[in-house]
Amino acid sequence: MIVSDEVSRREGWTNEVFQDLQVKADLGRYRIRGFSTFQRIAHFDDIIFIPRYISGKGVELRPADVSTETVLGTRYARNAISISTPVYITGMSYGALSRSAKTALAKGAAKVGTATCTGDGGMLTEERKYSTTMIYQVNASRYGVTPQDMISGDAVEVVVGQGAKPATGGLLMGQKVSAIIAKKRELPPGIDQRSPTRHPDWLGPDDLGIFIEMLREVTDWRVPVQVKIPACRVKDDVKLAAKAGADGIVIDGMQAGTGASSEVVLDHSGIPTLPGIVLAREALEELGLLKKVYLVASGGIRNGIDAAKAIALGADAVAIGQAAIIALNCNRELPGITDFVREVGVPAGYCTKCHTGKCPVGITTQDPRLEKRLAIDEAAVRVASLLSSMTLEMKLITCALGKRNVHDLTVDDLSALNVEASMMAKVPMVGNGGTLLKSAGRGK
Amino acid sequence: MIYPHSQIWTPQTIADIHSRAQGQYRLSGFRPLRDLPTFDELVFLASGLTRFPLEGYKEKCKTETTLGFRTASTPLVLETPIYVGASSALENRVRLELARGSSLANSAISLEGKVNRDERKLARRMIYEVPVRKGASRLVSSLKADAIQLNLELGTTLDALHSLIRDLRRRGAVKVPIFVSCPGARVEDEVKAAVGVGADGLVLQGLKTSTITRPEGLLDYCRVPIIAGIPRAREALRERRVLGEVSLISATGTRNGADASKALALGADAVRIDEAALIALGYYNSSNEIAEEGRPNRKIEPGTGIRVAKFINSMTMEIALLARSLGKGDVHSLEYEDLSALTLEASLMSGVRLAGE
Amino acid sequence: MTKRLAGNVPKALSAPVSQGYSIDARKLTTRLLNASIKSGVSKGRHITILNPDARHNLAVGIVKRCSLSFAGSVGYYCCAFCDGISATIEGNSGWGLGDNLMSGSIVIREDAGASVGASMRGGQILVWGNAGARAGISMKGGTLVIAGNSGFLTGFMMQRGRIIVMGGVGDAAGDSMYEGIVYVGGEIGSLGVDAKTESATRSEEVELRAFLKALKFRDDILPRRFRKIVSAKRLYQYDSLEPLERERLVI
Repeated sequence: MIVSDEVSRREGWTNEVFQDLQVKADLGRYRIRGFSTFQRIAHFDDIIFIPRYISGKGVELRPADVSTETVLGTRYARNAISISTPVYITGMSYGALSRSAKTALAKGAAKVGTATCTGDGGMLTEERKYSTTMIYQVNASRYGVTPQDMISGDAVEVVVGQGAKPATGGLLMGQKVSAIIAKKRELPPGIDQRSPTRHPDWLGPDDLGIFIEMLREVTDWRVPVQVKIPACRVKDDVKLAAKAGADGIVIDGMQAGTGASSEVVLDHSGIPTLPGIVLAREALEELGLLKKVYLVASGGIRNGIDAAKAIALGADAVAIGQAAIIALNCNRELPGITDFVREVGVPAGYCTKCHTGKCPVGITTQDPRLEKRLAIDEAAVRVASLLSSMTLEMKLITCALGKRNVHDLTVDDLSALNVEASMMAKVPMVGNGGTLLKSAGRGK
Repeated sequence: MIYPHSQIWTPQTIADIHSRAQGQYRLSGFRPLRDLPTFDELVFLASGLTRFPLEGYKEKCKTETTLGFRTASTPLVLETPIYVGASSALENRVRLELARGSSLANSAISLEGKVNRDERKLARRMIYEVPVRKGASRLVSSLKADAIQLNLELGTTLDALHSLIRDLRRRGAVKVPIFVSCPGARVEDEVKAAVGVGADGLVLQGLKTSTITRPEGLLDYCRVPIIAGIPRAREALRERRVLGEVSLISATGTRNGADASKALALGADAVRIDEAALIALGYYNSSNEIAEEGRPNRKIEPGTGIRVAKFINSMTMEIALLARSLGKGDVHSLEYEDLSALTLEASLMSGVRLAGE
Repeated sequence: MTKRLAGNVPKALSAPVSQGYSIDARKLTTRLLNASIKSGVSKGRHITILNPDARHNLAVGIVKRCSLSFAGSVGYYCCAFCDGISATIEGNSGWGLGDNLMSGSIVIREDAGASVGASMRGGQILVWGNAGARAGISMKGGTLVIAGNSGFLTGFMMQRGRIIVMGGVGDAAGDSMYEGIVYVGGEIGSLGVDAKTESATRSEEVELRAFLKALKFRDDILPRRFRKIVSAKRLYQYDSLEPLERERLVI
């Protein structure tokens, strides 16, 4: 019997679609899962750096010569944040993540001198205690938000939405709303919690301007206020946020991850990180605010090369979520301790079950028996190692390009390997060009 | 040494030729350089600071769908923009369950070929499909269909179509909507012809590349992909100044609520599911079976139709979820400008701007 | 304001205050004004802010016990993110009065704009006038008392706490509540998603009246009885179809 899979795949009727339909015929509703989109999308692998092997300078640079110091928030704040590397750990909620996971992330980030961010669940005392630079998140739910916690932060982040599931609120299934989480969020335990999609006290960009000013007054204008935007109508949103008075903007592409989301929004909403960064940069350029308002890119950044490309495209820093979780042990079989197939039904490397609370490695769970499997200090070392390796990669590529500062990377250092990447990232294709796509020209 | 597959001389192509040599016709789709774009290559631009998303629980999203109101005095009213289609090749018990599912979802079923009384009874709303041939109008009268679909065949003349419609309306079918199925080859011609003869709605098909076992089936390959067809049909309707009056139904390639949402955003008023309904029913179990045009000999228990209803419900929820995240309170407010394309082919075929443009 | 309550508004919004001083807001930028308030607060004296002129973001982020009064109307987010304040406002307020209040008391003589007490976690806000839309939105604790009427979406997505409205509430009252109670003395425009009404028990009524009397509401003008709006709790578990979605499937 000839296998016709190839034909069906071409028409989109793949085996995954089959399973999906049959599950929905049982469930009668849409499906929910964690992790990120499985769509194939133009991403950082589709653009490459083109180093100069022969330079006129005659001086050979070493990685040690390269600076990665990053200062964010000089527009209005009295104290900008200063981190040793342009990668920091993005906001992820305590609730979606265990206390041990959040603590390990704070400790790991502190080891290399970079920042962490709270999340849609309020701040943990451990986070503030161990983190050297902590960004305090204010999102639509306001779970656990207190003025004292906000004032203790080194920056404030106002979340308009996240790239994984734009314009829908956070989601925490009942099995993760433990007594402790319920208490912190002031909810009935065991409830399937859904955060609101809009903030309770501001609606449009004009209100946002007043709201941002309010946050500055609360924090005595000391700290930067950044606005996190999911990549959709990027230019409009970035311009509005900048005009509303943000010190910085975080642009979160559709490849970003989440602890739980309806699948339909995860895969079919938002635009990719590549064009997200470029459009954000162009919006700031058009307002004359490039480098005055800082730009953080997030959504599917896996290593230092991805980070360097994001910076070359216009970002001042990048935030990692999934990569940090994976460094903690996500999708890693621990012999003698975990058994992914038995515990979550799929082998390690294929798990997207964050929303179930059954995380075999104790990261996205509130079950103390599972959380025990995450040894905090060892995990912190892993996070620090990931961050250091990313910093080294950035230094390597920067000096290979003949530059001394990672922030000197530009679009001129990049070329694209396919048409989509070329048009999305607005960098020329490798080769002599001469195609009809003259619009894929050089960025400024 | 075993060489990797040739792009064009695949095991399937080889098997096709073997079949033909034995006197049995077979053609297993084709292999263009790149996979044809599916709806997956279009994404939605959700609200940010320029629009407000609607809250999940609180803010209802309307899904009611009215089709064929151009001239019909009783248009087809569905509670969801999705309805089911069943071909005449399916066994009776399968069609019964599809009908049951469509009713439980407060939707409709489109039946091709001979319709028996049980099917008519189980179907809350039934669209009766007739070929454009002499005497077709006689078939229709006894059935009390809720809508009629005229299936064009190669060689259908405008006159034949026109006189059939006139005949139907004279026989008292004037109350219900008359749809014309458009194969989706020369989309603009088909649409304008159908509009010209007074159709209340168009059921637009698109390119299908499943295996065919009759040479006539070859015509399935001679159509444009649905993501190109819908915008072209919409433009043709606009040029004829009947956009918003003549209903446009997308009848190919919908596998889930995301696909349906994108079809609606591209310009469709409703979406028809055929294969997807059969898969939800449990009739097909793997993509092998769909590609091969055989009928799996699978027992479908009475009552299984509820799976189809649940599936339609899940799709409707997905559409509503996406619509709300775009700040829309009605699934029919999804529009072209809500979309962005991820690949160049998808962008050029659908006219939707590439992400980043 | 509901007719019944006209004339009930006390002359003085709070008990007489200890020796204090005033700041003329007209002379200062918001930043300087708030800085003056914060430094005055640390000295423990009552501060009266003159000519607030409906400006935004006044007295935000104060986490020390203090006593303030505003001799006029205030704009958005007045007394937002505070903990332990005792504030009175002689005029109207814009959106978000007492946003995220942790503890303390805010009393306003006239009307409060939309989202009064948004996400408040404790303490008490008393509006002698009417409240706009979304009063007590996303509330997590504390008590919000409205002497007049409250707008649509009162108590929207409320998690805990109490809202007591002497007058009526607009449409979609108690929409998507988790827990918490909205007591309504007057008309209910319509109930929101997953909200239902109950009657208050005898002891609840007694307790309410005692509480309101202590706030200077005269017994004879209080509503004869209060209705309670609470969550019907059908949206708690997602695995069951949501009510809106369940309606669609005719089984």
